[in-house]
Amino acid sequence: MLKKAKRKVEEIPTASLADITFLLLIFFMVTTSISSDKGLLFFLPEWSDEPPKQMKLQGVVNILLNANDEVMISYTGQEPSVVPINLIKDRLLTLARQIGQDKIIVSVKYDKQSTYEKYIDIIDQIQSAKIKRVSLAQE
Amino acid sequence: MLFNKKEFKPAEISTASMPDIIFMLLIFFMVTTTIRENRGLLVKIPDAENAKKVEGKRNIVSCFVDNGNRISLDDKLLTPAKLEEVIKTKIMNNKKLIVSLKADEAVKNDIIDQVHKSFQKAYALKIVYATRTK
Repeated sequence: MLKKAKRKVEEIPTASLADITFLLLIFFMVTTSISSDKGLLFFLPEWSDEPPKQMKLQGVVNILLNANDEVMISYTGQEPSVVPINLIKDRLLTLARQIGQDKIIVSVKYDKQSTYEKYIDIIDQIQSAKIKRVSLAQE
Repeated sequence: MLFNKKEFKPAEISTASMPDIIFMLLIFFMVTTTIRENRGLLVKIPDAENAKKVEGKRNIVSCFVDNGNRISLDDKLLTPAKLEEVIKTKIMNNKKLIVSLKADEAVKNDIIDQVHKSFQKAYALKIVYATRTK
């Protein structure tokens, strides 16, 4: 008769499981980034108590936002025109080509009754047009 | 001898349940931890295409402006004049301060103008308009 071999139960070593878990934990801790702030960077002009001087600068494009959330772009020597918000970028790009990419200065002025959302849309469009020099007009 | 000396057997501690314990602890801390953030006002920030991540989290201070024209900074409701004072002390302690303006998209630019002026007077000129990506 054949002797039946006694079956040995194989044990899987579980001692290293904790290490693996730690490794995974540390990996995810390092790679996870808590959602950071996103937004449009903007530099405000310096404050002066004196009434602003009427500046005679070359290449200043004025963007005006009125109480009805309509946008007008004006540039000396050109008829001011009402522009839909999504077309500000194209308008600025053509103006930048005329004036020169590093000479163009955009000045934004908003009415107190206009909405913040439209103002942000304008800033967004200006940044889309890659215009570096942007200023906020003061009354 | 009457008493047979028993053979000494080293007791083995089972480590199989260690990962379970670690998992349990991990999940416990994950659930109980709240990421410390200054809770502000409930605002719906506008969308923008050019929204970029702002570097330097510890230099950022959030200023909220909500639908009801309330201004909040560091969990306190402020008037524009008080806001100027608070920002002024903050900028004195940290020159690299960036103010993140979290304003509701429906607010009028009247209040935004007042906030802008407070920032300008406090010399906090580097600001971020908090937006979502379109």
